[in-house]
Amino acid sequence: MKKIPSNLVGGLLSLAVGAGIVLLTPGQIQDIYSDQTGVTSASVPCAIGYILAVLGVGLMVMSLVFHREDDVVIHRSEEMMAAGVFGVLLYYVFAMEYMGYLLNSIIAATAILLLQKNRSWKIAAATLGTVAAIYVIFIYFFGVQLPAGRLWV
Amino acid sequence: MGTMLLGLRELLSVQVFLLMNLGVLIGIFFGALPGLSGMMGIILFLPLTYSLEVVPALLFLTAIFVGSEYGGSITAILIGTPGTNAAAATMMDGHPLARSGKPNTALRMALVASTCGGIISSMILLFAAPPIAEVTIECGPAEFFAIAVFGLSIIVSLSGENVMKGMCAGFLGVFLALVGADTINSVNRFTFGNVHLIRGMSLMTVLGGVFIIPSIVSKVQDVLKTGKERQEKIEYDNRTDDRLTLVQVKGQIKNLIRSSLIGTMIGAIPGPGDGLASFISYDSAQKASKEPERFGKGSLDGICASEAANNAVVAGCLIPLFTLGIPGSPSASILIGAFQMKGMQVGPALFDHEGITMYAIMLGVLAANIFMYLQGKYLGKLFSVVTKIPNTAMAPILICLVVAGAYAANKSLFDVQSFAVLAVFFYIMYKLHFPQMPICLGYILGSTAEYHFRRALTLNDGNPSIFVTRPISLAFLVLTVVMLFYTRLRAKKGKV
Repeated sequence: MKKIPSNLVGGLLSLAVGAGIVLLTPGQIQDIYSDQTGVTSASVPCAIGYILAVLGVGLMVMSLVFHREDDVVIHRSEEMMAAGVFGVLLYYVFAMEYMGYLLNSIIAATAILLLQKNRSWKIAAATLGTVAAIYVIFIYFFGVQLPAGRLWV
Repeated sequence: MGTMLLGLRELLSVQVFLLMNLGVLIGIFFGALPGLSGMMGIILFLPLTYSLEVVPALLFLTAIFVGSEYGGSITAILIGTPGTNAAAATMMDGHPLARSGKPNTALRMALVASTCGGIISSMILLFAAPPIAEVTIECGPAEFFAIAVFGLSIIVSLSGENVMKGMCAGFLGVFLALVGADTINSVNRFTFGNVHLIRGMSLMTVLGGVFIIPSIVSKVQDVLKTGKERQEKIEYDNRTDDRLTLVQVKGQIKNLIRSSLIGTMIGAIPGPGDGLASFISYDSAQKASKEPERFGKGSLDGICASEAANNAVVAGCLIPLFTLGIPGSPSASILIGAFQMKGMQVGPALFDHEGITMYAIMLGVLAANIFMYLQGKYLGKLFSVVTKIPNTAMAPILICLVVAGAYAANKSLFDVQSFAVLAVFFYIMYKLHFPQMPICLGYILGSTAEYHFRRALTLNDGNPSIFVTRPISLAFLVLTVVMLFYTRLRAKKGKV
């Protein structure tokens, strides 16, 4: 079990995101149009970047100067589980182009069931059956062609 | 009156009756399932209406719209996963109430509120559409910006104790809404050279990443915590102590009327949509409540306010559609396509040329709400099947469904991939106790606010005085400031 000072860490995160937005804006928004209002395509995103940075500093001041902290309790096992789910999710979405929706979904669903240490074959069968049903419904009923997978096409 | 009666006669057919009920059921289904939406349902079933007559076709599609607004509350309440962005506000009180052992009470409150909201706004549509349209036609960019700012100010109320975290979340949501091609001069913003980002972040990407994935991860973690099924599994079995009483409903009359009016007005203004209506209504109910501290913990007021408003939006957004030819929401814009398919041009002249059809549709919206109530009441057990799904199965099924839905929106794998990557970031924010609702609200309103801000300045040669010289705009800005002070004052009083 570990305690994380969420105001401090959140403030750092907000400062980083805000600074990132401000630094990236000139390269990412090349507004070549002159505008009599002075407000361009970059104005509002840049302003948001500054605001996020200021709010981030505010949160850090709240934590370090005023000692007003909101400690978050982190359990290693739970976060390892979360990391596992995200690992499966990222594999699922990036492999889908190659494996296709159906096979990839069966693999991902099985992986998540295993992560949860599921031992019930009934639950496994029902889950995989539902996943297949989702595929059939989207393809044949909704007419949405889910990815077929480059490996098989 | 004669035209209205002739319109009523158009409704009295078996075909219209069956189609409307089917439409409501489809709408509930599409609204309930994360990954699907009412708009998707309307789009998918639009081709099926080619062979139908005008009134049955349009009422079928409108019924899908009506049903979907209620449907979103079912999963929001029962499994803590909103089916639509409007149901996110319902989830704030609906799910805690369900977890406290009263899922039936929460669902029934949502149903009653949805029905009342829909009926009240249908009556307003029927009798007051032209005068309301005259007010909305006065709204220009300055007014739309002021309304968006008013909506964004709700972030303060939704932030809980840490307003700074709430504002961070809200501004992050606004930033996400600005990614993509600038709506004014098409300059690409933060696309990193990726063509898929030119159209911006899809709603499913943000909604899924903010609400659905953290919810799924929590379900998985709970299984680990207990080593078996989650102890707080919601049991829907209609116990005697889990019923909505007439006294509880009577206690919500003022809330229902206020929320319905808010929903109707917000719906009548093109752009904001059901998400804003439910949040504004929720916020208003909290401010008006004698026990604001109960909000977020299972308050019936919160459920009622959110659901009445988001269903009132349906008829509300038909007001500018019928009177001005301007859709009040994305779903209403699909209905324009349906009208055009039948050779009808929406706008003020429609009442003169197709008065009977217009009244048939308006009365049909009223009837659809009644059918929705009956289906919700008698098919509630069917909808509650979702609570019987073991959590171990729920997580993989939801992930597969959400991914399919995210893909279906734009047929883009990039949407799916960006949703997954953003989900990691949003999960970290969730663990650091950043509130989720402000991200959603910022995303919904960010693009509108920026667009109208810049347009208003352009119209006034860069002079910002336009925001305070136009009366409706000034009124909303003053209201925003008043509400902000009121919220902070109440929060401080609550602490003392």
